[in-house]
Amino acid sequence: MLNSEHDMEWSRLKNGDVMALEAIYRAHVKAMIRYGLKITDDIDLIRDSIQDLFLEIWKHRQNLADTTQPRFYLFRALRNKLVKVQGKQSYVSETEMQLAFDNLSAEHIELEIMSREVALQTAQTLKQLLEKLPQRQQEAVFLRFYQNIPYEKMAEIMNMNYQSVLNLMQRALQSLKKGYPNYFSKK
Amino acid sequence: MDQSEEKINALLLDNRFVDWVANPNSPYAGYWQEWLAADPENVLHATAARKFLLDLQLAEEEAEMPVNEDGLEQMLDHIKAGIVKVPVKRSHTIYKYIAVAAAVAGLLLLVKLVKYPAHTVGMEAEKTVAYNGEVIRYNGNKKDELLFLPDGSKVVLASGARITYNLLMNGDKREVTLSGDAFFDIAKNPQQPFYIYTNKVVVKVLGTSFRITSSGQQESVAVASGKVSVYLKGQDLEQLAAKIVLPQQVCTYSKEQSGLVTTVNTHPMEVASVLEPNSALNFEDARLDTVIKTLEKMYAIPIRYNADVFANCYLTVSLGNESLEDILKVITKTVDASYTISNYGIIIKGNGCH
Repeated sequence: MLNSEHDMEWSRLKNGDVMALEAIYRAHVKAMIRYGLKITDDIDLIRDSIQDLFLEIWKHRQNLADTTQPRFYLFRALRNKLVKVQGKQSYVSETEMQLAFDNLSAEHIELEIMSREVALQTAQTLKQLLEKLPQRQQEAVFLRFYQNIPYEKMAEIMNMNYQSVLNLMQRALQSLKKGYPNYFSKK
Repeated sequence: MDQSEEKINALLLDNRFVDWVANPNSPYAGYWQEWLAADPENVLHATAARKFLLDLQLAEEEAEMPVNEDGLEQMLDHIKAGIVKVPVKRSHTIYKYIAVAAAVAGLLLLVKLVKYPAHTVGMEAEKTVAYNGEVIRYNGNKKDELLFLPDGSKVVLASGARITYNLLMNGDKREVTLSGDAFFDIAKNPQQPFYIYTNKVVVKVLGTSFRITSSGQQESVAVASGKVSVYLKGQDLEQLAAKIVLPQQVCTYSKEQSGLVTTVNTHPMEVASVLEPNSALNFEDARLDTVIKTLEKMYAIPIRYNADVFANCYLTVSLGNESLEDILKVITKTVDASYTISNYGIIIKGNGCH
């Protein structure tokens, strides 16, 4: 997923190579959209933000920091943009309020799933479970399990401290496993 | 939570474990293999955790992408347009317009507006603002479509294919981007080389005919006449020279090889059939407005003139084998007029015919 080819493109971009910008766009845009959807449902906003982001990257290319993994940089920048536009939500720190909210939703999910009692296809089940997670947990699951981004980097991208990221993941996992039939099949 | 659960949880929360599952070159592979060998219980837990991760990735994968490939290309086009000009505000209406137009039109001809202040709608507006002059032509029909480019080149676009180029093609290079399949018949002009960009590949041409396929994982260039050079986007041509592709050869890029391979073309090259019969359109004693309407369609370029003034003008002309400028010269000479050409299109002025 993240290889040295992309580092080279990053430095070519810094030297003003439009093709490198294009290559970076192509390599990451789908993941960026997927990630954006974990933060907002407004697809037009995501598209606009991605376009603006690449234009800004181009404009400030000489001042870009070196990175071996552009994806982290792109995710973080995209997130900042989306959050800024979305406005009021405070993503900066994990307040008690949000913790309470997250827990509330976890309980809600549990009830809903038990009431169903239908054996769905696992992926399908998981998909639905994922959709029911609080948005920030969805975001964390996406970054950690799907994009294989380590906690340190997640903390950077999501603008949270390390321990909070870990807590977030723990809660997400707790909710997910309740609805996932094969998770802990005990023999 | 029982002990097994706790162990699986611990695995899933471990960066190194997830990396081992997700990344085929994980540096932690050795560590986990040793760990597995140490205790059969570990294997059970690892299997459960791994299955959970893979199911989860599948679930993410299955979530529908709200933006299709065309949408992604459009975004990229906007970015590129913004790079060339001053960064500009885009509006959602442009996307919607494109979407609507694509739905109605068979052959979609679109001049994209990048900055278009409301008060400069007229053609005479300042050249520096308004259009970036990019034309997108898309074949939404089932059949191949023959298109004319302003430099006199012809393109046969296969169904679903799309090309983008600058309205006037008047830079020091002629450049088009292509997605899908197309057959090109390029007007010779060594002073202004012709470049075709696909997803991965760049084709440089001096004047020739060939077919390019750039859909899916594989991209290929098959040459009918002349020769082209082919290289990968971003390829350092001083390190690795471009491949020269000759008639009856085909040059292929595929993801597996991640490079270019030239082979003999075993399938005889079918010169696009639409090219032959109607590649030129002949008009005899035709009204000027008929000719102009045809020109507008052929080149996807707006042409402005005063229809009343030129109402009595008739001409005999053949369209399609010369560059747009050459054709304009012939027409304006015949009807005693002059023309100007800009990113907005063409304006023809004169006193009409008597």
